[in-house]
Amino acid sequence: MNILRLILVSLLGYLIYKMVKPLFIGSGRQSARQTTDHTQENIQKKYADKIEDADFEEIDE
Amino acid sequence: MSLDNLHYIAVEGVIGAGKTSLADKLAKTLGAATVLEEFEQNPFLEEFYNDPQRYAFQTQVFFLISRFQQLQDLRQIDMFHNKVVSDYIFEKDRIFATLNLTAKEMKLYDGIARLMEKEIPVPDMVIYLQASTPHLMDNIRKRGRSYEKQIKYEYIDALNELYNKFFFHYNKTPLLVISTDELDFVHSEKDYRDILTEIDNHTAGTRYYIPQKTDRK
Repeated sequence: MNILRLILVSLLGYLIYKMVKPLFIGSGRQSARQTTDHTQENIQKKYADKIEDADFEEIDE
Repeated sequence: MSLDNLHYIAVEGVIGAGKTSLADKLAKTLGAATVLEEFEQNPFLEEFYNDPQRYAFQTQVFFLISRFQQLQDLRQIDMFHNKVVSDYIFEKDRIFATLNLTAKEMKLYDGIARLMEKEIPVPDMVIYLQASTPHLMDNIRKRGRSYEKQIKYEYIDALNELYNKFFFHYNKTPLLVISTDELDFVHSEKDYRDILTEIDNHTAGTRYYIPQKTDRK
């Protein structure tokens, strides 16, 4: 009886672990992706600003 | 200006445009010496592609000094009796610096570059190889240089826009702008001959050569 209870508790624990794990990993991945997207946006904005500010007219004269 | 009267030609373009390939071919045709970028000697280049913010200034200054030394050596050559083809112009560094340096670094860089520019011989003609960013990325991937694997599409795209902006205002020498998306001057003798004809026909100002797909067949 005790062994059966132990097996059931272990099984229940494993099921809870299987259910909860993707939530953490998923949110971690999403968070990493959000950071990458944010960095990407920053780089693109930086490049866009530099292109807009670039003034090559002066040096050719 | 005919090919015979050109003593110093510079080929320009974004990374992967085919500058060195065209410069080599032109040099062979004209019996000219080549002055080629020594990018592989830049010890900061690989680190730069991995961490641009940290290594941008070192990379830029190394290129600036290296190109200055190379082009200053041209002053020793008798240009009336010798021909030279290079795969860059000195001003190209400013395009890269504009994108990669901070405002403070740019100010310092600009001061040094302006002093150097006065000592550099001016080409008889500049050829700008223009290409779309996907085409450039494809060329970069095909040539498979290890340190170029880190190059991002966004970086090449931004460089491409800056190059176009730079050459839109360029008026220092006769300029031939060649659209290379539909050209294969490395493998097609006809495409290469067409470029020679364009160079031969160009006299002053800016000339655009935009071949269409059907022209080659």
